[in-house]
Order: sequence, then structure tokens, then C-alpha cells
Amino acid sequence: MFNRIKNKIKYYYYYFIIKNSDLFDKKYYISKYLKDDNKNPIQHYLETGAKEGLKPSKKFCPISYLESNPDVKLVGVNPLVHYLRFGKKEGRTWLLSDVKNNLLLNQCDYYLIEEPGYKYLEGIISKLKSIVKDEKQYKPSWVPNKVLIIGDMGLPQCNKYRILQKVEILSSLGLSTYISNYNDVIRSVNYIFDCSTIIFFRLANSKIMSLYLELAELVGAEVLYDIDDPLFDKDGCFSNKNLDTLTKEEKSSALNSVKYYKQAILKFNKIFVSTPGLKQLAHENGAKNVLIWRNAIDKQTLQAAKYALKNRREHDGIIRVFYGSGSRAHDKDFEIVEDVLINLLKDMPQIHLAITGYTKLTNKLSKFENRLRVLPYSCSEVYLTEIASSDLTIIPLLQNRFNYAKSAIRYMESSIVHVPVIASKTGDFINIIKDGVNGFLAGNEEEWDSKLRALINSEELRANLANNANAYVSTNLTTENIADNIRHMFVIN
Amino acid sequence: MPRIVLFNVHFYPDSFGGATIVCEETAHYLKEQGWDVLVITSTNTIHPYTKIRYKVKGIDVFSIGLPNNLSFKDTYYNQNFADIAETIIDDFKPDIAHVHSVQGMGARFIENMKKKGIRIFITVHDCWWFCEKQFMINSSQKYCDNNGDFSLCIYCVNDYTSSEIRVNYLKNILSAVDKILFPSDYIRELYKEWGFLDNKALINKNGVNHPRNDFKSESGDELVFGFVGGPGPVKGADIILEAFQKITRNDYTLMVVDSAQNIGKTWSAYKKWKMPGKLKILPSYNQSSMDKFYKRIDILLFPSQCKESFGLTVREALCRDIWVIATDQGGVVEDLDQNINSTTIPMSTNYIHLKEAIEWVLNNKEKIKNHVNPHKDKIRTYEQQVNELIKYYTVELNRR
Repeated sequence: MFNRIKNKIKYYYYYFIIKNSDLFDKKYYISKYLKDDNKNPIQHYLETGAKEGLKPSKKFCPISYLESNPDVKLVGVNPLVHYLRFGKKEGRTWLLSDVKNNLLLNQCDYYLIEEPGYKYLEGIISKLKSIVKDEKQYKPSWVPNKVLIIGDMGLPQCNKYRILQKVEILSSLGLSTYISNYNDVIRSVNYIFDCSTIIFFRLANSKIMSLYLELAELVGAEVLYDIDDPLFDKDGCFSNKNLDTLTKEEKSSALNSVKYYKQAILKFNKIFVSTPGLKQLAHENGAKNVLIWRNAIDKQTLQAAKYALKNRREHDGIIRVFYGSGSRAHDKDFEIVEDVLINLLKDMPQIHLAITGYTKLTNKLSKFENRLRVLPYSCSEVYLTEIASSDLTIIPLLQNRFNYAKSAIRYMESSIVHVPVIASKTGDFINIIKDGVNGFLAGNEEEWDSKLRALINSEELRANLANNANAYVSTNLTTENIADNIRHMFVIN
Repeated sequence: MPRIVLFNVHFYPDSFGGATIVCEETAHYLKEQGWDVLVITSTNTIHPYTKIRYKVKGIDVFSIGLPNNLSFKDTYYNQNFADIAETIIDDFKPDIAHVHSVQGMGARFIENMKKKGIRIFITVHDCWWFCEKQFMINSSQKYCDNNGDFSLCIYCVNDYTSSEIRVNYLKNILSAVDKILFPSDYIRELYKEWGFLDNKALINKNGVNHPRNDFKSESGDELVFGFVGGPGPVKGADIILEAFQKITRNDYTLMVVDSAQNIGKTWSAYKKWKMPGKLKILPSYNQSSMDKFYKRIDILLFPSQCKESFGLTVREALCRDIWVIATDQGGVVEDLDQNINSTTIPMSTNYIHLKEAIEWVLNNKEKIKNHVNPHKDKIRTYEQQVNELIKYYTVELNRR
């Protein structure tokens, strides 16, 4: 009964958003599919049209959308509804919109818009093959020395650390770097011809990826892969407790995607990962040549840090403990220190808690409302100012395979604004933090408690750790340092 | 070794037209001499304003997509093309750019190269720089014979103001480049008449591929005529058909080459042709297979209704001892000797002159079959042409 009402509401909701969108063209739909039928076109589209792959308007191509977004296809939802509800915000595209963004729409051949992206790729490949069929070996005498990153650009935090930082580092080495969304086939193909190296970022194996690889081989470009989460590792992926909140369907689609990510990493002779832990997981899954390219402190973060240090709060006798969380997935992580923190708050009235980002506060914590400061994430300047105004940062993480591969970027950001860190004994923290020297590592509640108390009670200890941490990060973990490490991996003219 | 970039609308594998062959042969010879060569060309078969890169017959090529429906302005001032070409130029860093036929690609990219200090050569293959119709063929499909009076173009062009802007722009481009090359004296004089400066004009007569040593006619007992060109009035196809229809004899064969196949099309009009003699439609040939075609013919027909800047097929025939019937106009005549290696006819849309020439040939079958061109040595090879080009390039590079 309840489900029936829920479905009905859902149905009317979908009806409403389709009706209000300019991507559904009633006249077009009726003239194309409902000539002799008096049915309401939106109703028809919701009930049967979407499943049959009918086009809601000339502007939206559901086939192309699903081909360009295989994860959506796997879930099996109505493509137009998905686009209007999520895809649009997530920056997902299909061929038509990419064309519009990058090229001149009025000069496009219509057939290209109608076709899903891989058809265009197939066409280009067969054209090239027909041209070079006589050549014994297709090896250009001259290739522009540039890099192209083809990636899944849907995740903003990945964009900064894995894509924009690469652009910064490679450009500093004298290699011009282009970026392109993997489903923006026309743009990607265009730049493949400009580059000697192509890095595929965070992509699952798919038909379109195979075609990109085939084309790259034809034009003689080197291909590399880059990934920053253990999406290819079944246990790693599922130890992320966040998955508990998913529905059955979504879970099975996630399980499927693990398979495709694993296929992807095995396709490449050389892959980059963000941490030693992730390297180990990649090895366990059969990848051979795995290189570490860490997330780092880039120029933009350094600028933001300058701003933060200038604008931080004056010391007022209160000890602020900072906790930052990038997503809801970290709720479970926070739980491991919650009791420790509550005890501290009870024992020491000078302690305040500063939280930025998503965190579900339990009733136990809410009691200390006037000693809590909870801000949403806005921008890196504000985020770093919030850290800089605190006295120490905590980074609690559950012990599991997913976190084992975790990057220590939150440690780096705290260190760059001179704030000491206590982190869980996992992820890249165990490689970067020398316990008691440039930070603290905590393995259980007792350690959390004792190390937190030690830091809270000693200003000198805090200053010591913070200075060592800052020195370590500034000399080892900025994009400039990373550039020196990866210089030898690229041919630079 | 110097680096050179060549521009032409077509290139392998879409070879089409004389300018393309000149461009291809130049690329080959320069490559053989050890130059770093890159060709930038255009195509309609990929997405507009994207590019593909490939290597064909040893030459590195960038092909840039052009839309099928270019605006008038884009045909000569194509900013999108120029932007893409600029990134390639920035990567390749050529010392010299040699621009051939660029209709559709426009001339905007030339400005960019000029700013970068690249030495620019342009070979003028037709009238495109002052005539938007490219071959001076007016709307009634006739050669306009305008000797430099732009005001007369008002009767021909769609939009005189736009046309004027176009000509002035292209005139400025030509006056800014380092050297303008002409394949014949005739076309240089024509550009002079049209007010295009000629103090930097040089003649670089086109070469042709000479026959292989074992070249021997296989045309048989009857006379065989050959024609290479599109249907319609411009290249003279219409009067060829008319002339043959009016001749009652049938002891000959006419072979027509469907050159459009080189760019993936076909000229279907020839299939409807009917005449007393035999008619054969041959598939297109390329530079390596052209001897096969010339072995089969005794006479090349070239009754062009416009003044050609050079006339590649005429030269190819002349160096193979093939008799030529051609209009006595333009750059074509520079290697023709009336009644010695050819019959020249006046340019006319009336078939009668051509008919008479064909009849004379039919009546002198033995002479034609045994004909040996005494002035073969006047026909240049590509090697000679490119060697001259290299001399020009070197002078220009050593300047300053």
C-alpha cells in the first residue's frame, strides 16, 4: 500500500519535471511515435517510450546518453529523468551537448548528433585504417609532444587532485596538457591526434575505452592509466560502508562496475595510483607496472594557505579540534572517535570542536552545541582558514581496504597551515607520518585519547609537530616536488 | 635540415586536381632530400574543425575537417581553420610555409604565420585570389575573359560588396607574403593585370611525371582519343560530345576518365553519352598508374573553355608522344607547337573547330600513330621543378 502511494508520487514527480523541461518536445514525440494514438506523450514516454529507446526530442539522444554514461545504463533508469534529476548537475553529457560546447552547432552534420559516441570513433578508426593500409608500419616521423587526459570528470574533488594537478605538473615540465571528458568523443578524438601521451583517468572498461585505445595505438601515442580509489578491488570497494545505504539494484551495478574497473587496469602496461596502499591493491589484482603519483599541495592550495594564515583567528585560550569531511561516506569514520571526543569535551571545558563538511551529529554530541562549530564546505580558502584557526586536526578512518588506499591529502592541507594532525593508522598516513615527529598516528580509542590529551595539554608539542609537518610537506609533497619525481617518466623535448 | 609545411585543400588519399599532385610531388622530393615535411590539408569526412593525423606514403599529414556548407566569408577568411592550423604550426615550428590551393581553408592562417616570422611562399594555381568563382567561369558557364576590371564582376557575383571585401583582403595577403610563384607566364601576366604586385613574383613551371622507360603505346589499330575532366561546359566535355555526334565515322574509340572517383564521387553524366564510335569510361588513375591510361590513347583532347594556368594532362601527354588537341589559350599553349605536336583550336563553345581537328586527325591516322614529339625536353620533371623551388627557398632562408 505504502509502496503504491510512493510509486504514484514518484510517477507524478517525474511527469512534472519532464513537463517543465525543454528536452521533451510533445509535437516531435507525437509526430514521430504516436501518429494515430491519442495518448498523452509524456505518459507514453514514461510508461513505454523510454524503455524502447524513443527520443523525447531532437535535442536529447537517450541512446547516446546511456552509451556515454555506462554507469547510468547499468542501473537501467529512464535516461531523460536521470539527466534532469542528476546528470545535469553532475555535468554529464551526451554527444549533442558536447558538440555545442566545443564546436559550432550550426555546422554539425546531423548524423553525428544522432549517433552515439562510439560510432564516431569507429568511423575515424576505419578511415585511418583505410588511409594507412599500405603502410608496413605506421609510425609518424613527428608527433607533437603533448599530453591528453581523458577522464571521468564527474567528481570535483578528483578533478583538483588528479586532473588539474597533473596539468600543473606536466606544464611545469614543458608538456602542454589537454583535458577531455571521456564521453566528449569529438573533443577527445581531436586531441588524441595532438598528443604523444594519453592518460586515462578513473575509467571503467567499456567499448568506447577500447576504441580510444585502438586509436591511440594507430597514431602512435603512449597510453597510461590513473586511478585514485580501489574501484577495481571487490573487497576494497565494498569495505566502504557507505555502500550499506544503497538499494539492491545500485549495489549490483556497483559490483558490476568493479569488474569493469579491474579489466581497465589490466589493459595498461603502466598505471599511476595515488598511494602505496592502492599500489599494493593494484598488484594484488594483477596490475604489473604500478607507479605512485601522489595527490599534493598545488599552487592554488598554497595561495589559499597564504590567505588562511593571514585571516586565521587570534589565539583566545580555547583549544579547537578540527574535523573535516568531504562526503557522507565519512560518517562511520567519525564514529570511532566520537566517544573519545565526548569524554574530552566533558573533562576539558577549554575544548571546542570545529567541523567542516558533511557530518551527521548524534544526540550525544548535540549536548555540547555551544562548543561546536559546524560549517558546510564552501571553498578551499574558507576551509583552510578554518583549519588554520584550529589547534589540531583529527583524521579518523576505519581500518578497511578502502581506507588502506586513502591519500593523506587532509594531512598535507593541515600541515601547510601549521596545524598538527592525529590520524588513524591506515592509508598513506602510515607512510607519511612519523609518529611523534611530524604528527601522531592512533590505532585504537586509548591511543586517540592519550595522544589527543598530550597535544591539548602541550602548546610546545603542538608547535613542534606542526613545524616538522610543515617542513616535511613543503619539501616533499608540493606539486613542484612531485614534478621532479615524475620527470623521468615522460619524454620531454 | 629546414622544416617546411605545405598547405593544399586535397592530399593523399583524396588526390584531386593538378595543384594536389604538385603539392604531393614537392612533399616527396623534399622528404627525399632530407627536409622535415608536414602537410596540412582538409577533409569533409570528419567532424568540422577537428583534425586527424596520419602518415601516408612517408609523408606526415594533418587533415582538418571543414563543414560542407561554408559561408562565403569562411571560404577565404576561415578563423576556425586558422586557429587549428596555428596550434599545429606552433608545435611543428617550420622555417618555410608553402601554400598551394586553399579555397575553403581560407587565407587567415597565413596572417598568423607571417606574424611568427615564417617565410611564406604561395603558388597560384588558378584565379581564386581575385575571382571568387575560381576559374573565371561566369554564371552562364562561360569564360569571362576579364582582364583586371573588377567593376565588371558586378554582373557575375552574388554580392558585389562582399566580393570587393574579399578581393581586397586576399590582395593584402598576397602582398604580405615573401614570394608568389606562378606555373606559367600567362597566369603571372593575368595577376599583374589584376593589380597584384609582381615584384616578388617568380615563375616555377610545373613538372610532370615522365613515362617509365618501358612505356610503349598499346592503343591498337584504331585511333583512341582520351579525355580527363569533368562533364559540363568548363573543361569542354559538352563540345566533345557534340563534335563526335556530328562525325559519321565510327573507326575510333573515346576514353573518358572518371576522375571524381579520387574523391569518392562519380561523374554519372558520361554514362548517358552516345556516339557513332566506341566510348569507354575508365576509372580514375593516380600518378603511379597513369602510364596505363596513356598507353591506351593516341590523342588527348583538351578543349578547355577557360584559360588554364598550366594544363597538367597536356604536358603528361606531350612527354609521352601523344598528340594533343587543345584550345590555344592560357598557360597550356606554352609547350604546344601547332601541327608539330598538337592541333590548337580557338576557344569557342561551338563544336565546329574541335570537329574539324578530330576529322583531320582521323584522316592522318598513320602520322598520329607514329608521332614523336620533337620538343619533349621542354617538359619539366618534378625533380627539376622542386630543385628550382629549393633554390628559391634557400635564397629566402639566407636573406637577412
